[in-house]
Amino acid sequence: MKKPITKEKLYWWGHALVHPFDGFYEIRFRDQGSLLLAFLLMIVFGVMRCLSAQYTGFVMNLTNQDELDTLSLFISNISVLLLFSLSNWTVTTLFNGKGKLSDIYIVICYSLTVLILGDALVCFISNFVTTEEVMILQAVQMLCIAWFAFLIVAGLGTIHEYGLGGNLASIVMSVAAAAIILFIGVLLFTMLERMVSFFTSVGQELMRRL
Amino acid sequence: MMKKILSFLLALILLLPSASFAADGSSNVYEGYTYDFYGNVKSTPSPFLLEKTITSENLKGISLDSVDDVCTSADGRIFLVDGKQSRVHVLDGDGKMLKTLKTIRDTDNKIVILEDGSQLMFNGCQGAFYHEKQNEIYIADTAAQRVVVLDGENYTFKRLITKPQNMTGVTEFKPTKVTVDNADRIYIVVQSSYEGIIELNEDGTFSRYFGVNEPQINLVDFLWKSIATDVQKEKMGKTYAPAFNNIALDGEGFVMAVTSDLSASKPVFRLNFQGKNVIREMGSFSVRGDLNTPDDSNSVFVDIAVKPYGTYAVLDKAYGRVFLYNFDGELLSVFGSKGNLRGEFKIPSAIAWLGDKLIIGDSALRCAYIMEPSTFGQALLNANEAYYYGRWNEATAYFEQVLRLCSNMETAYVGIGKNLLMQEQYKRAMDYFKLGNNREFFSKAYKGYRSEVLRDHFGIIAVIAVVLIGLVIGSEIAYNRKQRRGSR
Repeated sequence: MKKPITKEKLYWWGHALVHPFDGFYEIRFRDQGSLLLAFLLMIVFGVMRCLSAQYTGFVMNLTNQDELDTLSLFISNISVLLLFSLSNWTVTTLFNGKGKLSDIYIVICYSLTVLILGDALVCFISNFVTTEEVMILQAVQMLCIAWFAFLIVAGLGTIHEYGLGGNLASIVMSVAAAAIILFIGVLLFTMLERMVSFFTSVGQELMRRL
Repeated sequence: MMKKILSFLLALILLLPSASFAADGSSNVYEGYTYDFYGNVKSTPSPFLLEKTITSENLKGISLDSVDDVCTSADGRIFLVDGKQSRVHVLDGDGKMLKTLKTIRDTDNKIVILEDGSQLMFNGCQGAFYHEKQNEIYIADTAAQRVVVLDGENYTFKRLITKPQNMTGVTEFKPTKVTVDNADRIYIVVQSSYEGIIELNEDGTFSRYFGVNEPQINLVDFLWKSIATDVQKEKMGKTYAPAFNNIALDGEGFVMAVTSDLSASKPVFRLNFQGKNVIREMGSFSVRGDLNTPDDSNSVFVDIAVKPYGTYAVLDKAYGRVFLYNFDGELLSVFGSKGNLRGEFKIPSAIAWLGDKLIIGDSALRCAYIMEPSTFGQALLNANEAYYYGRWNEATAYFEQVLRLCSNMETAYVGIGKNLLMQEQYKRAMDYFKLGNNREFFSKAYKGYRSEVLRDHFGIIAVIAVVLIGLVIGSEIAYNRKQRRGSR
């Protein structure tokens, strides 16, 4: 049985964060990616978001601690990732993308590493800053987000073998696709709810008449 | 035996009417609330309770058809302006009638005859102001387009202020509210005027329009105006002053004005001498009354009353509420409601301070309420007064009393925190600022606390820093040596 996380795979994970074109190429075409590692990163990211909502220093923390719901925060953060992976896959399969769903998922979750590290750093340091110094931390946050965006763009471009224009277009279209998926999902649930209530009321009516 | 007496006493206590359900109906029907940092409604006790209602019954049979304005004098008289009956009623602080004014007499007790031969009578008067410095009452006689000035003691005629000869603009001189500042400048509000408040000199000559709305810079408007021709520009609406509903003077001589005009940048104005809005808004939200109202209907402010120490009450017509703000613009508490119960409002129209009491007039219920501060309200007022005048320890004691009565008051936590901050008790100040959700001051306290900690532990921190720097330099040297050896 193959080990899901090998030393070599860990090396390519680190490599992809600083050399995304090179690293994600190895991951895609030489099978150096680890789904398990990606999954763990996603979980850690969700947990980190909850931690930073709760433990970011008071000066920077604007969440109402009385109304903080870590479970819904966790789920909402993770579901965005899953939804985007799915919508990107649906779009790129139509437009000659070479990446598989697992590749897309790995790219997105590996890129999260930057956000996790940034969140952890900001969350820790924010406990020791005054309002004037908050700006520096916000700059760090912005930097992390920019890096994350670059990793996503570079990674998706590499695994799908897209040029820059096609890649950006596919990302914009996957956001639109995500919106459509959400819409259909909501539609489905409301229809189901109506159907269930219709059948239960028919059943109730029958039981009263018979 | 002791037990029996005790149980008897306890039973007796149960039989006594409890204060919150007074049989005479004087108890208040509403509770107070305030908004926390996150905009959630937090309940507070009501800061004011109904003490007495002034209706026609108090006026010896003269019917009170409307209450359009209320003003008070420092010696405790209340002036009710009835625009429908064109009367001004003078009452003492307990609501007992002293005098009613309709025709004006001079010092010889003769009715004043005007130039055209008619008697001087009020005609649809809408506003009144008691000028303490000169002991004069100014009455805005709206339909007659004049301001009547009477003596403050015996209510005899002093002078008339009519439309000044040198007045410019298109505003009709129909004064609805009037205020006089300490330099005897007269400010006249004309409802529906878009040119601003009319400012007159002491002698009644026109000085200027005052309190023009700050033009809001709008990119779309700018683009349109840059490509429009001159004729088109003529036709475009200009940005004018909002129509003010009412004005008052604060303790520092600033004119405070309220407006419900949608074009106004803010509903409450505090105008400096140049006519700029310098209202302080240091609270979690701007001074705008209710937040998150259904269907976005904002509070409609019709009147404002200001204490010398800057705490002000604004009256909201939309929901029948009174908002208490301190001089920093932090919301203290809100009370009042619309309805038919005693103490509730239909169309509240006027508000004024009488000492620490509030006089609130309602033009539809045709009455005026005298509201006295509850223990909670009194503590709030005292705390803010002491804080404003810099009596920190006294303020802290009152803020602590406020918190004992209501632990939802974020401003009280912040008030105590500020005092602790000044005493350099940083750690405790931080705790209070955290409770009061004030990040700006928390950060200030934290800065002090942090440098204190750094100072106290300077030795160990310095040692760690030196060791770290030494390690870095050492490793660099070792690395360099290795490189050099390798290159050889």
